[in-house]
Amino acid sequence: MGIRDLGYKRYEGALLPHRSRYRVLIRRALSLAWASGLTKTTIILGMFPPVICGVYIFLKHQAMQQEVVQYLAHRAQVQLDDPGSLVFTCIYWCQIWFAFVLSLLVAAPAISEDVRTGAFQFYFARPVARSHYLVGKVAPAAILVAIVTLAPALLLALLRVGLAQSGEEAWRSTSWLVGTLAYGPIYALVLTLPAVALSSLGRRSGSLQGLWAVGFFLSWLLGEGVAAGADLPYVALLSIPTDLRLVGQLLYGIEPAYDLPWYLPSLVLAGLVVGSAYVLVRRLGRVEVFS
Amino acid sequence: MLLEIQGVDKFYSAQVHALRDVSLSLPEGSIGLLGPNGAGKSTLLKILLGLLPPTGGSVQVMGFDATTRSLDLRQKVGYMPEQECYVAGLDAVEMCTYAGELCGLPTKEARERAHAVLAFVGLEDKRYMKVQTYSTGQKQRVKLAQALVHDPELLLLDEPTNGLDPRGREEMLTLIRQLPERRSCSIILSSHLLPDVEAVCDSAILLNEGQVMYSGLIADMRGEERDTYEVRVKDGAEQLAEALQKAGCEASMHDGALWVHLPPDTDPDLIFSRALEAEIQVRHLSPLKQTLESAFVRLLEQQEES
Repeated sequence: MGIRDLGYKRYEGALLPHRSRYRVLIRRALSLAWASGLTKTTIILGMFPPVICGVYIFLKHQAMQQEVVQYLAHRAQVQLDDPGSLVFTCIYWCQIWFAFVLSLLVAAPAISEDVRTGAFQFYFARPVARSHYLVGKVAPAAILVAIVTLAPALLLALLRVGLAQSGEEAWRSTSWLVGTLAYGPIYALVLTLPAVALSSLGRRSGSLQGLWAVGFFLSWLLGEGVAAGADLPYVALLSIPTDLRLVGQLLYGIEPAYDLPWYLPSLVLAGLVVGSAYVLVRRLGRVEVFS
Repeated sequence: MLLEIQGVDKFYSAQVHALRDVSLSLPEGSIGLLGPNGAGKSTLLKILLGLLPPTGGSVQVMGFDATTRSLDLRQKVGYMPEQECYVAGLDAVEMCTYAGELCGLPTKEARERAHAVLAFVGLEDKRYMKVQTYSTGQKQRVKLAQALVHDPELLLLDEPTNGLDPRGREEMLTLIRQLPERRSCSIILSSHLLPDVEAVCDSAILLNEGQVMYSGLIADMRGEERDTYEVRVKDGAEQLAEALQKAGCEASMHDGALWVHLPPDTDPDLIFSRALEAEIQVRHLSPLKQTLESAFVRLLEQQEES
């Protein structure tokens, strides 16, 4: 082994403060995620529904009176006069699939991969606090989910505000903007925090990803199925996607799918997020850095 | 002082007492951390890195309190773990750059130093390969590189020669041996391989059952057996042994050499005079030095007896 110092000189400059670790961890996680073809494809495909929706809103505005548009809208059973509903339909029914795939690819293996490769020692033998690490795992996944949910919904809401022809219409459109600003972060947290918490429970990323997928879709299927079949609306609260949908409908001012007290789905989602955060903090607090 | 540890105890539970009243003080240099499995070496390393708070006592590493200023401390420490350790999806340059950034180096500086440190450990040709595709020896070198990239003042090495073939082991030890001089850093080398510690370190901490059995210079630990000499002769070693025993010495054969223990206040010239009388040619005579291994065993036996 040759020993070559390449004119080695000790670093004498200033070191960055400890808070810079958040930025370093998030940036590196995002670049690693972007390096994956699947993640890249999901994000690119996730741009199509909002673009189509945006084009539709624009055309509708430009040619509101045209019979052909009215005819198409009638056939598609879309309420032309309610773009808020359209934005919600796009962000929920279309984007949830892309958001879920991203949470599956990025959030569900976030910590288990580090356990498998021994990277815990890489991080925690450095000036990286558990809070840095935690944020460095949750934030990149949440950002990616927000790219396919919050960002397009915001652009659609802004488009609607921009196209408003009167002050009253602009004010009404602003409420969708506020709804989107509240809904986007909730959406991102609900789809990432439980998945990251799950990933802290083991070292087999594939199994944990499977578990996250099964939990997500089974709760959806059972919750909605039993609620609709047996007319037990409270069972729908067991489904994460249904809770998200009910909270979204509340924020966008749309009539809810189930006749339930308005605060219940929010409470369930808050419980899920807080519970996941608790699991993460507990697991990282007790992690055995050196086996 | 590099390490100042006072009365450190560590309980994992009521039954598991990992460290017992550990007190030691060692200056900068190369320090070996020795001890059988379960002696408390890993626990002490965790405490030195500030990852594990001691149940009692105080730990100062390079002047930093390891409990209250662990982040500041870890900025000045490099750690090479024993187990496999890499970030999936990164090549060696990216991993070392990332390591530097996490220690507070600006990105550009971290990247430049990553290239330099990979050249230093002999990986410059393979630096753009994903770390997970490396052989065991290459992974060991990357682990050393990532521990060195931010110019640590103290380097903690946990079994650095694990899994290496004899040539790789020798190369790794050569590299480590040169670090204090070339990189101005102190080393704490935790190993169960006594020859590794002997080859690299000046001082040692010897742990057994959570207690410090010895801390100080290896030369002092190995010591010289006072009044005991190793003698090599051309022919007639047994005859000389007999002659020396008649003169009141203890003499015994060890691997072709004669170990002679003189009575108190006896001049070693006695060996030459008896050899001359017996017409035996003495080719070598030196005070007997213990190997680190024999010193280690002796200290363990002493502890068991006490």
